[in-house]
Amino acid sequence: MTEPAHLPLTEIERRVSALPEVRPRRIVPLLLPMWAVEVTATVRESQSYDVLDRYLSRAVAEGGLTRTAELAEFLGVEQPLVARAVRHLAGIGHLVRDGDKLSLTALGRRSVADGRRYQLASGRRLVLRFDGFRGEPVPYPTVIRSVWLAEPSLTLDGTVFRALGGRPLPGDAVDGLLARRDAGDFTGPVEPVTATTTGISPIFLPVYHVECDGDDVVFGKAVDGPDPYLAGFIPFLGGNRET
Amino acid sequence: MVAAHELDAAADRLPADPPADRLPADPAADRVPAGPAADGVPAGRGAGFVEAGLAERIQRDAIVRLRVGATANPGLLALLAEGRFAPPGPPWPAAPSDGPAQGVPGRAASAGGAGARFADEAPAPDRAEAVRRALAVPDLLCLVAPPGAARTLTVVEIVRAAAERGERVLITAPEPAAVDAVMTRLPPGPIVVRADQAGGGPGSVAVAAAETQRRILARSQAAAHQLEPWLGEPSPAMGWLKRLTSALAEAQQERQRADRACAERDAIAEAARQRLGGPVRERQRAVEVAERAAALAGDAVERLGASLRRAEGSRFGRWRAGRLRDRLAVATPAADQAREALARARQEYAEHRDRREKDVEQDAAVRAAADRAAFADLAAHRALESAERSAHRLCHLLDGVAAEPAWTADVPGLSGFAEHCAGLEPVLRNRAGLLLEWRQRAARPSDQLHAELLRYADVVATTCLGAGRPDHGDLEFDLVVLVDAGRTALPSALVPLVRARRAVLAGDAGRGPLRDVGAALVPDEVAGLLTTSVLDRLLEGAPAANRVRLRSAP
Repeated sequence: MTEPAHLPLTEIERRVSALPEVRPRRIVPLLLPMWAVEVTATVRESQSYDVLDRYLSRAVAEGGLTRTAELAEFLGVEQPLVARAVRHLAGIGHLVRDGDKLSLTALGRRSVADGRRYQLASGRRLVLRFDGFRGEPVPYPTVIRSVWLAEPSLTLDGTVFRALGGRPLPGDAVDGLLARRDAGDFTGPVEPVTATTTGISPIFLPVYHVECDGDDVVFGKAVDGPDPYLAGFIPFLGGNRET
Repeated sequence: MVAAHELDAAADRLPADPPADRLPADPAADRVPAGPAADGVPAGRGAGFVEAGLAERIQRDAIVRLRVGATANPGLLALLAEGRFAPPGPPWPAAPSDGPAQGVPGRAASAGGAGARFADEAPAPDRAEAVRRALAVPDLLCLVAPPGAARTLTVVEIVRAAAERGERVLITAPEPAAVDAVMTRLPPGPIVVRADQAGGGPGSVAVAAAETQRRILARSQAAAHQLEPWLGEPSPAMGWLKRLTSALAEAQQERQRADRACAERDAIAEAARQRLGGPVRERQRAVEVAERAAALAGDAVERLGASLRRAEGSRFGRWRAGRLRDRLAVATPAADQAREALARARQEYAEHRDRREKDVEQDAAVRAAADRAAFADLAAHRALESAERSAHRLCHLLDGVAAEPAWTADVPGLSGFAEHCAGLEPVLRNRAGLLLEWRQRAARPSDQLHAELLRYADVVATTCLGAGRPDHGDLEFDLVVLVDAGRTALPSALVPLVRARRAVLAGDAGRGPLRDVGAALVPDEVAGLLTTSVLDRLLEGAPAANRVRLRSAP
């Protein structure tokens, strides 16, 4: 059984009436234009560190120890064991060798800083979502908690959702997302590092635009109450901008 | 030989029959004494037991890995399918006839317990040859060991030698008992982990982890003790470093003060010299006058002498010479008197000067200034000595922690040393904190180390199917030693084989079919896979360098 794309209008009416200081005039069911961008990406996967690899990486990063023998002596671990752990860390791109000296790569340094063992995996297919008004990425909680429609039509319990027109997706939308320091807020735990776009398709997000005497509110499926992210689109919906 | 699709067909047959691994062992064939780990393990339910469904999946996974080339030995498929053995690698030194293989240090000889026992038993020439070939073979060695041929001892020797040269070794066999037999005879030294030993049984990952943690704590104790003074903020070492830098700053300050006091003392002494120097100046002028007079008198004597010598050399200078002699007779005593007067004036000058210096020294203002300068100089020396003491203390704290730089006990030398320590301090503080954390982590019982131990241990031991458990999926080895290969079918042998770069198949060859496929309609190749041992299959086409036969005991 497929998940309903949104709550029925009666439920939204009930929730709106429960909101203090909100005097609704009418509720408009809408389909917001969005973009689904399919990419083939090299992603940074995040895993928990094991014990030895974590302290080994930290001994290089924080303790300034750069040789296998030094690391083995410092940690009190057999040298062959350390050598194999070093080989493993080098294999996942955390350590590099320069002669007999070891140093952390950018990936290794970031892993140590975040306390997470990152690994790069190439050839991952991802779908990134952008809004159809400003071309900005959609926050990950909204991405995973919403039902996305491939067609601009939805009738839910007799309520017809009207599709809005949007703007073309900016050509640098994906690059802009990858360059953001908070990219993980939009892509989730599997964060793309590089990506090649393989397809762009329009998609639609059902929402209820509640026109009020004061500031309008918008109900999506991702949040139980008024959705602050969706409220950012009120100017594009012809409503009162939220103050 | 065998094609991959035939292996698939064999894998399809596996659920219908018990895996070859699970067939009861022929007690007469296996002369391995059952070790303590094998005792009390119910057949098919102890260490190394793999559920039937999982066993099928594990073997299928190994076949898939072989098909797609995801094997640690890239030539494994060619070896199994076409009997293509890799050409021999660089020659391994010949084994001496009266000791372990050359190039394999006899660590066991210095170890106690099993190692000492092992070292006492010098391997027979063919065992040494087997070890030599096992270490030298680039892909696979068939080690044929008929009953009574000390197969287990040879395998132990191979495992020990490979582990000693840094290789990661997997000991495997279809039955846990054979694995245990090798494990229990391994000398101490390498980290050995029994991968499929549940709970905390001997050799289990849990026991190995606990032992590793104990060793970590023991080995890092001295370093932790040495780094302890660098721990915390502020740390004792930091305190000494601060003392050094403040003593140095004080020494520099005191030195400047002493320099100023000296300059002041000199100025006051000069003023006193001026004040008390009237008689001296008079005597100095008298000396100058006497010098001039003596010089004039001396010049006159010289001139008269020269004129006299010229006059005496002239034909007509007799009269003139007489006059000059008279004048010289007067001038010479006058010059002597002038010199004597000069000497007296000089002596008087010196006496007055010395007296003045004594008077200057005795002058109250000069004495006070000299005292101030002396005290300031003393303070500067004391501050420098304090800095030096701090530096020595820091050297003591650096002992065994970092290399001590060369330094001298003066301000520039101590400043350089302080700068070096200031650069080192954050690193050593980090190390101390990290080591403390590491030791606290090692002191806590944890199963987080288990996966890493399996990944990095020198020797891992498990049954063939146990090597393919999902939680061991990414394990790889330099060498797999498959004990009882004469009783292992290819599908189950594949499980460890795909995970190792090189392999030693040890067992008795030509023991007959592994199982009865009955009246089922099974293609010959598939039947061969299920009934012929991996050792028999590969021994047939193995070049001479890739097989060795142990002699039976007489």
